[in-house]
Amino acid sequence: MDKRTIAALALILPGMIAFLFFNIYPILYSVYIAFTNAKLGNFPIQAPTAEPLRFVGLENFKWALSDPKFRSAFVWTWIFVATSVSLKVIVGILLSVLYNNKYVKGKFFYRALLIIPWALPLLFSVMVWRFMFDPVVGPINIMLKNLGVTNPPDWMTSVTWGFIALNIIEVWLAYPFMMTVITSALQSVPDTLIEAAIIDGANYWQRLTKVVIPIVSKPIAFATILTSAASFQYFLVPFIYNAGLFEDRFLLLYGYRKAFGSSVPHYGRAAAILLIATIVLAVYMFVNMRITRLQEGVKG
Amino acid sequence: MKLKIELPKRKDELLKSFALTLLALFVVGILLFPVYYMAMLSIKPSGALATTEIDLIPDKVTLSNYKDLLIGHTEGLIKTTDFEINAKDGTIKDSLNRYEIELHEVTIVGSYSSRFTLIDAQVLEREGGEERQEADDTQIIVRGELIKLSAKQVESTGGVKNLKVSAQRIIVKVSSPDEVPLDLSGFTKIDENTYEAQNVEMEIKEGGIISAEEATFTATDFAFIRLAKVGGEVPDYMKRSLLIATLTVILTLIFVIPSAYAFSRLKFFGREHVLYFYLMFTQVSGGLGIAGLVALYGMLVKLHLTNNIFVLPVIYAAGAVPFNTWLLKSYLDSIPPDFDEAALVDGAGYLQIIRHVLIPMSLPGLATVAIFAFIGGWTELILANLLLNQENYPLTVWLYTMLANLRSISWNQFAAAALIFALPVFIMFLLAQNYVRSGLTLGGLKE
Repeated sequence: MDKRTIAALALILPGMIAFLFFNIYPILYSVYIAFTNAKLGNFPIQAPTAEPLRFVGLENFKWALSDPKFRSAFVWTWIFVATSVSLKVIVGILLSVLYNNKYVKGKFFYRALLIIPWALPLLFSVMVWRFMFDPVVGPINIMLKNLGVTNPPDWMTSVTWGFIALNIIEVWLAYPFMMTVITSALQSVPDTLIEAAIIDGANYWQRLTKVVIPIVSKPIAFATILTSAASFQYFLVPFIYNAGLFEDRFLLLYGYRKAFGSSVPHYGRAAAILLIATIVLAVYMFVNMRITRLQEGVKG
Repeated sequence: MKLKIELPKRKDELLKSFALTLLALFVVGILLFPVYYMAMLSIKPSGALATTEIDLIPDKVTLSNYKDLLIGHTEGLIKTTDFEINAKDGTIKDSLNRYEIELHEVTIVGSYSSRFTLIDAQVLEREGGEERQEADDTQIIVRGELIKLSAKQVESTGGVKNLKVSAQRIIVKVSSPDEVPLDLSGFTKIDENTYEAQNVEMEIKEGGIISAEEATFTATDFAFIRLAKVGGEVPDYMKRSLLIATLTVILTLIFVIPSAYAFSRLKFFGREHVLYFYLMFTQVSGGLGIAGLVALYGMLVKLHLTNNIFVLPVIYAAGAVPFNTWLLKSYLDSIPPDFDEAALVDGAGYLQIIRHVLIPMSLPGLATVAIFAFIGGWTELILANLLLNQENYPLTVWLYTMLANLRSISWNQFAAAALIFALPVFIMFLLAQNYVRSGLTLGGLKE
């Protein structure tokens, strides 16, 4: 090893050791736990009376696949990815088109205001929405009552309405990101190209589908994949909003609750659930990247 | 920039522009309504929560929610027989609901064994009595001769009989005029079942529940008074949040500055691999963080590091190493290497170069990293919630536990607490926002 490499290593090591010790090691250790019977009594510290910690092979994974709550969480996580991502993309495109329209005055000002949700801590945003959706004092139900809905939905304890509320919250949280990416994509469409299309006699629809969409589709696909990964990893919002209610709706939350949210923690099963979730996410991201060939875009 | 407004020349274009701008404004209003409403809520008086209509502009603005959270107030409970209340406004409500008396600029004198709560109480004068201090700053005085207090609000905990009242203005509302145990001879009828009098004295034998605002309360030969501090808990939580966030910033800079320098300036074996690994990690860190939680928890329990506030900054700083290294490396890449290469030729060591050349030149980049680290430490909830016990809660965990137990606190105070929590982040984000946008395209950065 030459002198320069040693110097570089010395400079990199403090950060890297901390990172490896507190991030990578726990992940590897979690993989190990997923194959053990770790539960209350034998994990983290072995109690003398409890069953000893031992390797159980694929038992936790077999359990997970036959557990109705796990199946429900798995299916609903994907349903959430489908619904929330569609909404996020639609809302993102609509907002970008509106705030990029040449007839709208003061665009710069609106765009500056619209990224406010981005600047707020997530905990605060969820608390704001928790109040918005409060069944009694929340403005949404007050508004519904004023509109003549005699029996407005209970956003807090009904799973169906709560799920809809989570979709709305996620769209609100993600639109600044979607809007920023899509707006910069729209602005990258050269005016000369559109003018040329107008001169050639293309109508609005043709200009949109033949000129604008081919140029902006790649950044939109990029944003869609990133935001769908965020939807799949949806954890903090349901956790703060009502963790018990959404336990069997979101994979990460279910894994967390198996370890820290139940009276009889089962760490091995929790680790198995989280490992499955991580692998599914990795495969999903990999496939998406391959399909859209985004890694070429990443490399510029 | 684009703020210049040009009026379109054609009439239909003007109309189109007007309609679309209006729509744009409307959409902004809808999207920002939740945050606006929360802010409004926090400056309304506690308990004033509409359940039937949405009031967009509060008719009474107060900072008392913030004051209660940040400073708190003293609440007094006094048991006495002889008392005198001088107040700006007050009411006496009959316990049988036969009458309600509204008083302005009033003196109420009574001699009846009763208890009063005094909000925002302050002792003005005191004679005699045994004083006792309790652990949580609660002050108890037993059997004093005289005590005089000022209070924002005075309320009796039950009906008080045999009252003598003199006031500049008295308004009496009765439920039915036939059976009123009051002498209303000096009163004029101003409305149905409502009577008014100016500058009068009256005796109220049956008494009622007294409540008074902006009052001075004087008691002679009282049994006891208990003065306790209520609210004002936020600075305590804030202190811990601030400590965690500050330590996260310091550790992040220690971890990140040397490695960003190495990645930016030195060519060495394995450089690209580590950089790619860091980049991949930033994209999936959220999910992986939860996945590693079980093991991290187990590790920390075994090392006896749970409920230790100093462990959290290390974990936060370590978890953000990949992102912050990339951020600072990209910034360093944009600085021409001439200066530090010259220093290297002159025989300066790497640490000297970092200290005397790179840190002064990369202050904006360092500030951005510091802001991200601070926000990270200030807002983290999951680990803090999992690892800390109540006596070590930072703001986030306190807010989270309050959300689960909203009965004990008003939404108004809760909104104020939430805003106190969010405001530093909001300001810092605005300072660093240009870099956030570039952080977005981090994945697209070329080496």
